[in-house]
Amino acid sequence: MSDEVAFAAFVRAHSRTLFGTAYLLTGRGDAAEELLQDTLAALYPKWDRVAAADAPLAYVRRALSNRFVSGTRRPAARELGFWELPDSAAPGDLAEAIAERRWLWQVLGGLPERQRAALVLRFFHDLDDDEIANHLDCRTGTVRSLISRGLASIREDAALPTQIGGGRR
Amino acid sequence: MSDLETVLRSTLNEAERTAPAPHDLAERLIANTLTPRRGAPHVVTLHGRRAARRWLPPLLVAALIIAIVTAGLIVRVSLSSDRPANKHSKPPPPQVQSPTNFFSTDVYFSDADHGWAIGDGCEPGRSGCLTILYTSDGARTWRAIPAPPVGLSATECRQTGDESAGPNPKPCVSLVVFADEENGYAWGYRTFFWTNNGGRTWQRDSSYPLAVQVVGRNVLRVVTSGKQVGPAVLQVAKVGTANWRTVSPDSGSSAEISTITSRGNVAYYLATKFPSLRSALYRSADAGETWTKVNAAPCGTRETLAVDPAVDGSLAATCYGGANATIRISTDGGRTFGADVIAPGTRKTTQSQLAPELLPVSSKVWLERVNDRQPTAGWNYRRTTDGGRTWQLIDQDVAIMDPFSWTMFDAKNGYRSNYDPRPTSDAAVLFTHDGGKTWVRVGNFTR
Repeated sequence: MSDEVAFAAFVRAHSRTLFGTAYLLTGRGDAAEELLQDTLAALYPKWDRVAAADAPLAYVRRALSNRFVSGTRRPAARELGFWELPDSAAPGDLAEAIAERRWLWQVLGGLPERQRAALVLRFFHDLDDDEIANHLDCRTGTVRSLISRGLASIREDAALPTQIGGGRR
Repeated sequence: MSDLETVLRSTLNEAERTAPAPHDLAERLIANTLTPRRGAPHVVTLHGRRAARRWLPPLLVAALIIAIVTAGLIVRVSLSSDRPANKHSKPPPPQVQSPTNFFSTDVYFSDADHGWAIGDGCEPGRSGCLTILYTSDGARTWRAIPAPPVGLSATECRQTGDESAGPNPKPCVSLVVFADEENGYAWGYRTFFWTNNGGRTWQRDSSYPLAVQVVGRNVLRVVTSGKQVGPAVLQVAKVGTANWRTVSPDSGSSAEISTITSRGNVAYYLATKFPSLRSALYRSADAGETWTKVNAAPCGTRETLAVDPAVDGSLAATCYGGANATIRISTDGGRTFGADVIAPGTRKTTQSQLAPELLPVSSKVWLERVNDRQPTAGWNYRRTTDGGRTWQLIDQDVAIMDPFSWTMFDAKNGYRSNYDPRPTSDAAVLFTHDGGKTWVRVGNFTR
């Protein structure tokens, strides 16, 4: 199979998954697409290496995370706000959307990129410290520190009286 | 695991699940990556794409200006030629070709006959085909009227309205309200258009609307300074004018989440503070001109999600928090509310609880809809005629992404509509003629 065919098949199979990760990292649909596009464009010339990886999806996700924390996307990440979260909430979910998701999403958007990426990789992708360290090109101890400081920042920001239990303790 | 970690995990999962992926994302990624290789020695860079984007908006603006000027000349010629015949005669309703495919994002009926639907007249997500349809025969037939010029599709606007945020926001609309055949309003995040000539021309102002409601011969809107959560003010204008007047009843201590509901000339303004989520209820009996605070906390220490006026003048509050979402009824204009009635289909989840959307017909007859099959999308519709003691399931597992407007015109007649851009959805407009007991699909205009 040519690189071109293999690349297209991979993108068709995994674009939605990768877009989801990019969206969690950047917080914006357009920024997520650009991050993903840039990552794929950078990887394509050496696609044979991607295809030969044990887990090509993890390989690309690692490149995606790395590109995000590299700092080149800092301005977009800083544009995060309440309203970057897609509003799929039904009316019945309003309180949850307001009290938890929007608030937490905003706090996440205000975290440094590396803390945010570490939290996404831990709490969305369920990666362990070693895997996160591999994704972010850092030491395991740094990962623990990033997650710990990220959670602490959220707790410190938890001004809501009852919404986030962890932030009240 | 701490509560925070649980909520964080849930928030990330929900955000990822609802991430606004463009429908042709994969093909675009492939094309953007592969195409330049065929004619160029290297992969196209992000910088290159951005350069193209910088040029595109000015070109589109120029084309738009030319189109508007041309259309304006045509309209002026048309109106001028009409006047000599009969200066009182109204020009024929504007009409453009109706699309064969239509994906609605909102439907609004001013009465049982006259309705408007806004959406995309092409596949969801494609820009440039915003369409407004109008019916004067109760949704049996629809015709298209001119829509405002916007930069995003209606479905994209509804799903990812925040895409228009940032330094270069694109105008986008996905919601519509018309007072009558001439005077209408279309809005979305950071965008508000109005017409006083049935859509022949649309004017835009710079407000950021949260809610728009026609009340009698007035139109009310809640606007912010740019954020949807942030100080919001209530404004009123006569239908057909743009003379907006701020009438916020909370004078300065601006609410941050607000809703307007109305029936006839009576309107209710529910103003909720963030993050305390304490709500105050205001009432106007003169179509929004003046307001009186009638209740400092309709649901007490719990959050008031909504207040909905019924046909008979009673008012239903939906309360959130605690073990179950509940319904409280007021028969004195919101000053006092009765005991809590547990809404069926609600249940407490790990992070929150499900709450129903309520349509009260009277103080005893209520309709409820709730997606209590989450996470699978299946909306259940129930009805009670005894104030919530017993409920009848009237529609089960309606496969839609999100129900939107529903209204009772009187004790018997009303409509409901659904939103879902998926081809296999059950999006439709339905009418009831027996107080919500049975519903008839009037027309599946969405496909």
